[in-house]
Amino acid sequence: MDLPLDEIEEINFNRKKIPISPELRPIYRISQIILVMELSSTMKTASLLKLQLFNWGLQNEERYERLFKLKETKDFPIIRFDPFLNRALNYGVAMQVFSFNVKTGKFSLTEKGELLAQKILKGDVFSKEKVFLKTIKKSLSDKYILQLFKERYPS
Amino acid sequence: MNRIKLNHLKITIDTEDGLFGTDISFKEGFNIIRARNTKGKSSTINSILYVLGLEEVLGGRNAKTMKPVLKDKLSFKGREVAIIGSKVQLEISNHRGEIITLTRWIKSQNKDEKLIRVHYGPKLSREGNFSFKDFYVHMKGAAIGNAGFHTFLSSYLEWELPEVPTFEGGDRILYLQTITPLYFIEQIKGWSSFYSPISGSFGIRDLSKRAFEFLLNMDVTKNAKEREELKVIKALLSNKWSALKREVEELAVSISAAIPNLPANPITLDNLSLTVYNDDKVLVSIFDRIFQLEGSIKEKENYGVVAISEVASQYEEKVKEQELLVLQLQNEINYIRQDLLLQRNNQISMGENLKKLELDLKRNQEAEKLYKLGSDIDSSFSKGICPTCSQAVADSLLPAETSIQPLDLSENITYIKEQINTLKFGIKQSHTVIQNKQSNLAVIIEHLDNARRELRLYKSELNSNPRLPTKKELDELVRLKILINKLYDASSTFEKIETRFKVIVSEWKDYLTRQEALPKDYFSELDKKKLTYFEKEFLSLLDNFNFSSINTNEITLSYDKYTPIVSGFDIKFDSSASDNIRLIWSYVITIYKASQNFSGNHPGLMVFDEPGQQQMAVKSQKELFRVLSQTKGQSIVGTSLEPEEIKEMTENYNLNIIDLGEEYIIKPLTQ
Repeated sequence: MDLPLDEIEEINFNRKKIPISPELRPIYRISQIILVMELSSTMKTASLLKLQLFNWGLQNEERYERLFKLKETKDFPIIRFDPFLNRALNYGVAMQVFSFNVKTGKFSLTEKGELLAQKILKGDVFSKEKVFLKTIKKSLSDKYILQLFKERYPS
Repeated sequence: MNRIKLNHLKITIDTEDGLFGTDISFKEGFNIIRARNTKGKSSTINSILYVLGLEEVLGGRNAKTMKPVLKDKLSFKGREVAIIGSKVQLEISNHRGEIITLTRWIKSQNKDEKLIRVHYGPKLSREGNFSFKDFYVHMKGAAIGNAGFHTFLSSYLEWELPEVPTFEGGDRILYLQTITPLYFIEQIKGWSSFYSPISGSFGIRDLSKRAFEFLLNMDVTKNAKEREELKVIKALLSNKWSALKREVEELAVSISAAIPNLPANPITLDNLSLTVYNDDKVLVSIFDRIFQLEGSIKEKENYGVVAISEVASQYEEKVKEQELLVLQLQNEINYIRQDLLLQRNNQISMGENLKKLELDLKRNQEAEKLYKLGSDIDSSFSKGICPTCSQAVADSLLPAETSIQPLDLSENITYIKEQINTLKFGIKQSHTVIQNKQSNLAVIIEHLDNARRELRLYKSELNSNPRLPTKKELDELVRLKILINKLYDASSTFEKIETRFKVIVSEWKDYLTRQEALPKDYFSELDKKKLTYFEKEFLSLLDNFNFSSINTNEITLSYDKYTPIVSGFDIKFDSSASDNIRLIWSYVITIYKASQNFSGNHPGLMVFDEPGQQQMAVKSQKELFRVLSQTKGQSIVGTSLEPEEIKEMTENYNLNIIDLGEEYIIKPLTQ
């Protein structure tokens, strides 16, 4: 294609906003973490490993099954350690919905977080995720996940 | 017509004392042989039967029927003379005047008693060498074979002996012997009944009736036979006809012709025809149909059929065209198929994209809701402010270094919705495109199939013998030829049937003619005339002979037995002995007269041995002699009356008296 380059006097570039996945929205990811802590974690406290595992699991419905059968198969999936999760956790801590225990290295739901959790549970969102988390309950403890992880990836 | 006349009888007996015998000349008309009782008169008369081979009338066969005087020993001058050999000779002539001489040996060293030698000439009347031939009696075929004497005799007498039914069921010729009792009344048994039974089982039913009918040449014998024959012929013809009918019907079925409705009787049918349907479903005769088919076939073979050689170049051109077409179509199909595959894949991926987008939309909408929910607790994110440093921050988890400015969530949602709409449109479009391509493909495939079929046809025809007609024409020709061959077969079969049909019709016509000729009643008109005549003559003779036991008005002739009956019953032979003799005289003479009057088969000879039995009244005997002397046929009467009595009785009568004297008839022959 021949451009009429000779006739062009000036060219302006405008940065265009681009569409992004909703999972990249802070509030979406924070709400997901809140649900994991609220529904599937003892003391509403979860290790980063557990949060990463569930974060992977909630990506699509096919992965739900893997988590359901984790205790049976003892087959720890190859998960992607999502940096966006970490970033979301950072945001959440900043927003004071999560608290980070330096000693245990675990994240807990704050009172503010608990408040948001109740709203999310009542709201018309995350319907499939809620069903999944309510079904799997608190069966996968931090300790068990860590143990499985170490068996799968020793060293 | 008198068929036989006895001219000369000679008995020759060779003894130790030389030749003995007797020699009698008969004349035409009435002959009386006169001799004393017990001097060999009956032996002499019976020798006539012997030489004619008719001795069964005497109750036996061959020489044993002859008296010892003719074969063992004879008395001469008070002493017995042994017989070495003996023979009887008889010279006879027939109605044509042919004279023959018969010789039969009674006792002989070298001549069989069954042999009768025939000399063709008057060997007894004059000297001369006459040719001769030997015949036989009482052997199988005596009556019918060439060497049979009776065959010879019946042809000599011009007798056509009829075949008559037997007890066994078949037919047998009426033997000459069986007729004899009606014209030859021998002394011992002859006077006891109208037809004295003869020895030898001939197995012939109603023998006396058949003999009577033969002598009177009555139609009944041959009519009865004719009736039997016609019955058989009719059954045979009916059988033939129904077989033929069945064949015609089967033939008609086999070629789908009209099935003819044939009558039970072929005579009512003028001709037989076989009609088949032509192409227009009209019935035409099979021959017309064949003619028409032959025409069609000839036409096709000569002009109509397009041979392959004529169209070869054209076909080759077509093959090329067709091959090109097939190739083009094949390419097109391949292209369309590829296109279709692409389209389908495209559609599938669009569908998958749509699903993803819809999930994305849902999640974005959820995020939107979450912001609303979260704004109550923390407003920082919903306003784009960092919760830590309270500066403006992009609504994204992406690190700020990427310099990516995300769309606002609501804008993002709109964007996704537009994307979804576009995709949906795309899917819909793709769906239509696929449908079109599919139908297009189907059409082209059909074209390709047709093109290939035609290509095959052209190629196969080009491969065939170039002189052959095209397949289509050939098919039709073959069909016609098969049809015509079938019809040829059928018509030749039919022609054979037709020939047989004509034979049957002519046979049937013959049958009907013969059936027509048969009298409706058992007796023909002529037979009835003969019987009426017989009865009248018989009764008038009885009157003449002074029959007195029964009033002759009460006597009739039984048409059943041909014997006289009184009020339906047989005349009893014990009423009056002399009247019984009168009955037999009358009966025998009437048979002759009836035969004479109606051209019957009577030989024209009557022999009565001792008619003056049972103290017969002289008056009656005289009347007998009168009747016999006035009868045209030859009659021979043996009697032992005194010469004077005879002379007195036969005064003025024309007769031949053979007086054999007072001594034995067999006496030394004077050389």
